[in-house]
Amino acid sequence: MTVPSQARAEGPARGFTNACACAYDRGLRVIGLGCALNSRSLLADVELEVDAPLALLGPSGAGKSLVLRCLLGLAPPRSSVRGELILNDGRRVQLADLRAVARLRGRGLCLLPQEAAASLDPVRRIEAQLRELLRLHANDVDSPASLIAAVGLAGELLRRYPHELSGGQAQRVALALALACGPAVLLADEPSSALDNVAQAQLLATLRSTCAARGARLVLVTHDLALAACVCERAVVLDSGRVVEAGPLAQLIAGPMHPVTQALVAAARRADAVFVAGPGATGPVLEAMS
Amino acid sequence: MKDRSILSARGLEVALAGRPVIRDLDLELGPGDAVAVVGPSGAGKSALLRALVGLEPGLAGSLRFGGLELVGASTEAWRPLRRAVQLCWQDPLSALNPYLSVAELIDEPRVIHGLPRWRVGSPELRASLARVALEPSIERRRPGSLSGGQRQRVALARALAAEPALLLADEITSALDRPVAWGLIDLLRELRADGLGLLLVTHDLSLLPGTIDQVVVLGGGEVVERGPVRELLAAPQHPVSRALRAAVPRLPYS
Repeated sequence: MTVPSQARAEGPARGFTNACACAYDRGLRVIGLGCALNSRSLLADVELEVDAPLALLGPSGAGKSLVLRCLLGLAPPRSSVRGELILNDGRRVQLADLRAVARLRGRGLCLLPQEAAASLDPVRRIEAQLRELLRLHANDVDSPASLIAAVGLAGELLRRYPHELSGGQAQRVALALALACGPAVLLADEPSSALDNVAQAQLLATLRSTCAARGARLVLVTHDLALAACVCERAVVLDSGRVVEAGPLAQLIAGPMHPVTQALVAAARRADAVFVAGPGATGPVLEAMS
Repeated sequence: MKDRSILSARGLEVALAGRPVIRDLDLELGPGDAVAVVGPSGAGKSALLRALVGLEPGLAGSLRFGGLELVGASTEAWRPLRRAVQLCWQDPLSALNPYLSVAELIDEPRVIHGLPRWRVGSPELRASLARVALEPSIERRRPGSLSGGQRQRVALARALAAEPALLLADEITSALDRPVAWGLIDLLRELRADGLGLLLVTHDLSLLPGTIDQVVVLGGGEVVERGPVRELLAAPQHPVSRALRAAVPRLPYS
């Protein structure tokens, strides 16, 4: 599942034209993000620079999903959130200002959830769900048919209900729903963790290519370093709610400094043993898809 | 060879609601054997495991446990297998009773199978926790307060409490982060060195080297390829095996 280097470097091929997205055209910064619940600190001093596709790495419970929730204004009730977003036009949005953060949701920042099946409306057809989001987010560039094609699904799936989809199809539909909002930044929370390896490789190839084609910045939450390295260029490693290491993935893999990063690299290297076994079929699925 | 096998399937067919989901499967498992069944989602991996412990009624062909035929046999005939073959489920949170403490969860199979009980604070219970690398202090906690890795270890300790000869593991690492998953795989390898037979179901081929000897690749309910793990990883022949190997995320820059 290696990625050709020129694909890695390619920027947005076709800008998604809407006023709001332009504000983030060259990225977005998060500074001083903190979150506390009942005077217990859950996140502290998290800084992110969302320019190239960014991976948010760390063990379970490190606070990866919580970072996304804070950015979306969906932090747990009664928690206090600090920090601010700096948009590319210089505008600053306080993360504690939930109204301002809510205005960015959809066209600004959009979530691709871990469990697609749970995020789809079980009693409505896929087409109706896509149409609703297109209308709510005033997206007149796309149509349900164009979105379903963009995520690599057949048009006949539009007529189906969520329970008639496989796990991989449901996750692609969730991606189509996220794209319907025309997001400037797509926050993907372990989008492939419920899929088998083959479906995972295919989904991530689609995720990377659609984000690049639409100029959406990608933040990928994962605990799998090899996976992150196939999709992203930079990474931030979290542990116990703090950033312990950040930088280009090539650098983190070559010389991890913090024990958490070292454990992630060691775990990924061990999985690599599967390839050491011999030449055989190395035609990576991700390469074939992209 | 035949004498030592614990569980042996010959031309096994499993049907769900009259539709066959596994066809013509041969599988032989003995003490200390380590076999992996791999395949993409929907290949029939979990249905196979459920069938092997008697949770699927629609069986045809032959399934022998300790030399006795189980296909078409009474529920009573399955009873020895129910203790000797233990299944560890993919999602430990839904497999563990949330109202029971860790000690009660591990003691329960002892009660069910009429084995001497392991009560809270007993050396046997502590030893069973130590065997899966859990602290003794965990025994009074409930599943909800444990991490994913701890829960899966409790599920493993519970399976081992029945003193099985075979352990069937259904994607037990898929909900865990990588370093934790490796800890669990290492544990399976130690258990196997102690003579436990192991059947690991997964879609992740990277887990197999060093732990598993034989691989059976399932595709659409049929065995599409089988062989020693080293050979199969070095030169997978069938498109399903090739796709599975190619889909392992590979670490670049190395």
